[in-house]
Amino acid sequence: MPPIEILSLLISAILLAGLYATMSYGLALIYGVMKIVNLSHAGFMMLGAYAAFVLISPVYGLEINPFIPPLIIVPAFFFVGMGLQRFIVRRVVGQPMITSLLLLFGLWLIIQNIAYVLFTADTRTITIPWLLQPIRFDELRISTNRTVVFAIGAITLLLLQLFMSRTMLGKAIRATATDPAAAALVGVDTERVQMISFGLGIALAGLAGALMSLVYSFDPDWGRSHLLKSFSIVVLGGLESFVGVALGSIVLALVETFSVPLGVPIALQDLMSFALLVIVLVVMPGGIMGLLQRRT
Amino acid sequence: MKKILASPQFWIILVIIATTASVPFTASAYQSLIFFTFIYISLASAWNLIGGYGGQISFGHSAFYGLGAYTTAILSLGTAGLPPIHPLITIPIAGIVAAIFAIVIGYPTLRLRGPYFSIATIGVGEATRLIMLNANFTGGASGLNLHVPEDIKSYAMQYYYIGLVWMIVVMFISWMVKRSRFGLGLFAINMDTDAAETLGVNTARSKIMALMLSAFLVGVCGSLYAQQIFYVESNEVFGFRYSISMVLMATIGGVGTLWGPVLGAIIYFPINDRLSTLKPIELFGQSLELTRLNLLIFGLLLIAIILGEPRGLAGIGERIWRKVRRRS
Amino acid sequence: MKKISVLTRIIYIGVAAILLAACATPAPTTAPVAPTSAPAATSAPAATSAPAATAVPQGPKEIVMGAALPLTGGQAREGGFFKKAYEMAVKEINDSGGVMVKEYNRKIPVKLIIYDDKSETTTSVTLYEKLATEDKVDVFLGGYSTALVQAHAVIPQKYQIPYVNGGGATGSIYAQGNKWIFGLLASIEKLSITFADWIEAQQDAGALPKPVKLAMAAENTSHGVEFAKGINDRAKAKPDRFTIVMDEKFEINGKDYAPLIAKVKAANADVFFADARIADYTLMHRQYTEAGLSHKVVSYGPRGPESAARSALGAASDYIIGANWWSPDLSDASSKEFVAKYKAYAKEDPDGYYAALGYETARVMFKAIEAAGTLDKTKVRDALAATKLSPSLVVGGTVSFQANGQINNPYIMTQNKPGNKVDIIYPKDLATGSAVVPIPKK
Repeated sequence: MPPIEILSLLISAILLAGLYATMSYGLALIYGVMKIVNLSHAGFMMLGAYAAFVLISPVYGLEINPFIPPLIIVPAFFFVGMGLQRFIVRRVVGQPMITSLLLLFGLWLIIQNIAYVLFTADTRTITIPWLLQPIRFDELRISTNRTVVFAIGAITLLLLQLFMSRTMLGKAIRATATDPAAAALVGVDTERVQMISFGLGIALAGLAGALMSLVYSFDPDWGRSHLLKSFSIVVLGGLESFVGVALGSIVLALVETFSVPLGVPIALQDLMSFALLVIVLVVMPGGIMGLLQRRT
Repeated sequence: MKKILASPQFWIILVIIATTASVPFTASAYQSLIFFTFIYISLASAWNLIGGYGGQISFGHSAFYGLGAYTTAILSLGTAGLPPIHPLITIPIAGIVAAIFAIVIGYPTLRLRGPYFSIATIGVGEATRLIMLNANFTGGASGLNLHVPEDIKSYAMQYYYIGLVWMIVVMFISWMVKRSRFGLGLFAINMDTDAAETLGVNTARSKIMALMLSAFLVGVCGSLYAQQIFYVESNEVFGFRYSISMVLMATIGGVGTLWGPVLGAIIYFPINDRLSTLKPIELFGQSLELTRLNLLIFGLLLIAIILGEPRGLAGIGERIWRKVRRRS
Repeated sequence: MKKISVLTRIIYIGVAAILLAACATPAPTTAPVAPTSAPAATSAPAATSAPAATAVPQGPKEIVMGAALPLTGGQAREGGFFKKAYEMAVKEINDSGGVMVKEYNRKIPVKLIIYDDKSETTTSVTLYEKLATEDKVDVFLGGYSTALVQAHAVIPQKYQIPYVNGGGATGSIYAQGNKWIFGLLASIEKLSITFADWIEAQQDAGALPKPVKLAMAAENTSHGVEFAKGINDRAKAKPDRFTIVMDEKFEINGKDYAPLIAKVKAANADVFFADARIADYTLMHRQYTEAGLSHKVVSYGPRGPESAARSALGAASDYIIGANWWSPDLSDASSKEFVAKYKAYAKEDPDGYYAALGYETARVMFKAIEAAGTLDKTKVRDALAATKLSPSLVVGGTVSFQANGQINNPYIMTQNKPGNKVDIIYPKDLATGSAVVPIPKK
């Protein structure tokens, strides 16, 4: 394969990793802090996509610049998430995982239905012409919209990491994630931390949806297949860290992208991610981060 | 034996069974609905063995279901180089194939604890779906069409009773397991695996056996499904939908109890079915088509049950019973 | 332990009793049956034209037609179009009094029941059974999407109720010897044959090389499999005309087609064929365009002219060729009439073939009942088999079924033209423009 093609695929893989990581942060955060698997993550991604659609698409007449919606959606979803945690999710923290799982699954169903009623089942796409023009370096062509998503995803990762390591709240969140009892002992208001974490997780889901709406078509059913993949990524990365999510995304994206030129039929591309998931779990349950931490 | 005959529970169950058995003659319109309810009850109870009793929450049980369905389809059609076999004979074979697969995936994954196991099962379920979707002998994406018998109606009645009998068998096995040492070991593993190990429970073996048994039962259900619908297709029978429905039913009803999955299956299947066919209601002068809200209603129902009584309907039953006792 | 079991068992009985009671009440309709005052008005003259003295039976109050469509889930968009089309057809026939049934010497209005199968196979089957057993429909109207139709096709056979659909196209549906199902969509195999024939015509005209190099990517469903098989069969039969340089299947709901596109690029083909549903078509073609690919002919199977895709792809969708069972741009009188009616009813243009075929499906059923002169299911079934509905908006102008129940009418081929236009390029007598082959490079 000519080197330019390999480079092109490599860039595709990295950009794909950016998409994957963006859609998995929220899931990782909520699981890390509250040990809850947020099945409604897919629903909030879908809502984020529709929110962006309403703001950007000419259909509703608002036609805002595509960089603005995330700034609106993130805070809005943050408060929605906090409210959900305060009134509903809080009741099931600490109970067997299955309880929260099903609660959030029920929530997902409700969100889907609301979307069907508000937006009908039509497939929607956001078309911004300059985003569809590739960036060109000679022969090399790079997808613009994916680069935008990658860039915003990378910035998000950076901000999250800074938040987690530099701010008091961030440290409180990490403490609660590591050991809630110990955190409470040193004076962390675990209830408040959980509320904020959930809110942040939902906000990240909404952000993911808003960004991915630039790349993918969506309808109220959208998000399901992304959710399953996110599980794989979060586990690959080590279930409890953002950097882990990023690493997991890169590994998965590379495997999926390069398996094809290496002979794997395209139909089995998805199989790669699930096979990888099972293998990683069996061989190193701590995921990539676990592997790295064991070394140090 | 006398004790069983004397107990009122036995007679209540007998009455229920007699009523259900008479359905093809008294209320044949609901025959199919109730047949599928039998299947769902069996699925939920079978899942409950490993998921409820054993506490190993599996999200990949559709793999067993699909294997059972495809085994029957392939064997009865005579593809894959083997001569055609009568569908009824394929039923136990379907269960065995599923059980063997359980051993294959059980050894590596059952070593994992808690959520790791669950996520691994998602991976297994989806991987199985994708492999079967692309394999040649499964008919690939086109699926397989089973032979439709000439007289479908009497065939359906025959299978109604097969389904009824099977459900009773599954419930019986579930009851036996619960009372046995094996079941006790599972409950111990559920509460604290390490403690169970120190107490002498061979945790690895118990978990595998529970998974195998569960897989066998689910595989047979898959086989019955194939013989009722006459069409198997990877995305459907190996789909995540069946996996999550088994988890849902057992949990709504109450994991780890005998009757929980039964209640859960009844809520999940017939009620969901009815939700699709509700009358529009008049609200504020506007006709509101409730079927457009079937997802919402089911979601609210789920949330209400989970918030109201996390131990499911069986837990609600228990609370009501305690209140009744206190008053008397 | 024992006491809890007793109570839960009592709850079991209670819940079961409540459910059976709820089930016992007749299952009501969900779809608003275009309430018109017409039926009431026209059954009055029916009463006078059938004087009490004659032995003509009064007949049922209404003809019950039922369908289960995906109104939520992955196929919801298309299912919604079918629902609107059925409702429009039923409203139309009821406005004229109903379907004329000779046995009762009067027009009987139609009651339409539509359930949501949530795009789920088992649900689709149980709902059709419910329509048969509880709602006691006289006839079925079809569902949408091959997988669902393939699964529930056994129900018309089981209860011996006639069934017509405009939503399932793969030939295997009709290869099971089921005498009770009929379909208005020509098989996918015919789709690939149409394409292959068209390519040969282009080769003869010198627009495409001989042999032509084909890169093919089909979705991994029975639809895609049949499509790929058709093209492969033709390539085997005429190796001097066709060389297949790539033959891949892909999973639906793809996240990234870059590796696929890379493979297409490496294959160096003249023609790129894909068989994809709208979301995948949009994503794939976006990435195709981003990668700067071009071929002499590009097609996504039955896709191409959908307005959603054109607005999503912009100029990138120009010159894409599609083959379809119907197009809103057809100029025959029946098609034009349908487009006008649908626009007035649904307040939007018909997008794709779905609504048109749904409407025609209902019409075929009405005509079959009329031809049979009775609601006897076997006679209606026989009338369906003998259908010769003309004029009709299906390509070819007449609806008639082969022995296996499937129609065998030709496809039309379309090509997107710049400026959001679409031209029908085949067959010649329906063409609104000529094909631009090879596609101009951008």
